[in-house]
Amino acid sequence: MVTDEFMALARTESSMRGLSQVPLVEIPHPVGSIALDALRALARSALNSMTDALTAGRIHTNSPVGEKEGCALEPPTAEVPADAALMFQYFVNRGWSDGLPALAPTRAAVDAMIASCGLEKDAVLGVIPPLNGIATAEKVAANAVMAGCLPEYFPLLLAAMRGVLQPGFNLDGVQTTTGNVAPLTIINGPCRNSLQINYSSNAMGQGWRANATIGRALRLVLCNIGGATPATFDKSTLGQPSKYTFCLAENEEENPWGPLHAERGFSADADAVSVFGCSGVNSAVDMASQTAKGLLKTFALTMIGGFTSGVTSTETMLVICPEHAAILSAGGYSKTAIRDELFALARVAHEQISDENLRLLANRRPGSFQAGGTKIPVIDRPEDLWIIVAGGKGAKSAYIPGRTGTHLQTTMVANQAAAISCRC
Amino acid sequence: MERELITIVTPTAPRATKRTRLAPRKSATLNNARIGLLDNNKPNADRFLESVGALLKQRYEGVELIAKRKMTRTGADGLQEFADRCDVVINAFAD
Repeated sequence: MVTDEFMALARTESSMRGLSQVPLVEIPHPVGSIALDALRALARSALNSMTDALTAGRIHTNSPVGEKEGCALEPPTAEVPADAALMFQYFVNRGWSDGLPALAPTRAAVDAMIASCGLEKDAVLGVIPPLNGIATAEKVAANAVMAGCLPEYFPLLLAAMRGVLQPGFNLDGVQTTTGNVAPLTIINGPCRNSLQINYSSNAMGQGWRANATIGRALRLVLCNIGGATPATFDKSTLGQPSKYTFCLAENEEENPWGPLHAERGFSADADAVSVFGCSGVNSAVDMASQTAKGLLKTFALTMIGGFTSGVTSTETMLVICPEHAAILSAGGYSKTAIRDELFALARVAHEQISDENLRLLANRRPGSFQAGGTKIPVIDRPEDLWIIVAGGKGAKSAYIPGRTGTHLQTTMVANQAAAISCRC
Repeated sequence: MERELITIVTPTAPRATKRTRLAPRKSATLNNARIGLLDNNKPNADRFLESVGALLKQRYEGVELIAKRKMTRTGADGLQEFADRCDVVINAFAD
């Protein structure tokens, strides 16, 4: 059962799974917001198509279907105008652009990128949904060049890719959802300083080549190799600016608790990359509170504000600025204590939630509806709140809701990245 | 004047695809069928599938409805066990 708006995506996904003949019954969009009578009429209208699809004699089931494995949509190389403006337009016309100008992925530039990681150009790093593009080192490098990456950034991009390709990241969903999720890439370790990756003032903002181009390269890989074409396969209703690029490093120097990658089990001396499914950035402004207790009340209010971005449970992230981190640390708070207190404080009264959403929440988060309870916690469990430290001077932290079914992944940066075996 | 061209590595990639077959349909009718209703947990998916189930029960004899809800598009727990319990499955996809 598929609404017309999603039929192209459903057909493509079926085909990619070798089932291009799977019967899809189309009904008009939307389903989620219509009344029960209209739903019943919709069910009646689709009944004959459904029963035909489920019974013998109506469809052919005996012949294998699907495209030939490894079929190429484009030739491996192309002749493009050398003029920058004409080349940009060429990329736009081919659908290879995020809308911004890109550098030419010449053979020499791509080879220099690959050389930085020691991989063979044909090494397969994974298969990227929704179109199951085969991500070889060469193709990823081409996108990294287009994004403006220096070759030294390439091992970080590969680590981010390994992260988004972990099953727990649920890249299928991230790539095609109507939500606004974007991968947030977080860099830890000594490379932050050697590669000048911003973790201080304006760490989430513009102006730093490494931050801007690593995040952008990941986006280009997801679109050009994965095929997440906006509107056709990337069904995001609104998107968000983070979908262009979103990468920052952690301010380990001013983190009183220890960095994210150490919490994730890696040596603090190692370089590591974490990816988080980010659904927007909510500013947590507090220039007045001088105690940890007061500050956590502000953070809880911000989390409650962010609750509107999903009647689901997600992992979430608090990006604490150094001045706020110092107040919390001076108050004796560990990361665990912060999580526990925010889990208790950040709750929304049932009466503030619409009846329809309460019904949905009861289905999706039954564990959060305790007997007799009148409030629902923003997060299901304290451990669903990740905490990092970033930013410069000032008293502005940030709260970032995640996405249902998408879990933060952390991978170590490897100079000699091991290819991930690929079963096509 | 002829425009200067340069050679680039294209940023797109070949696709990995599978070749499989559809499951054979067990019967020409849904009488006495165990019909799975797979709810993708989107708003109204459960109500829509309930309506479908009620209509199928009216049309066919001995229908058994087996409902299941899944949270994410892929990797849901117990899908194989669910499939084993059903003769046919109606799956809600997307919004």
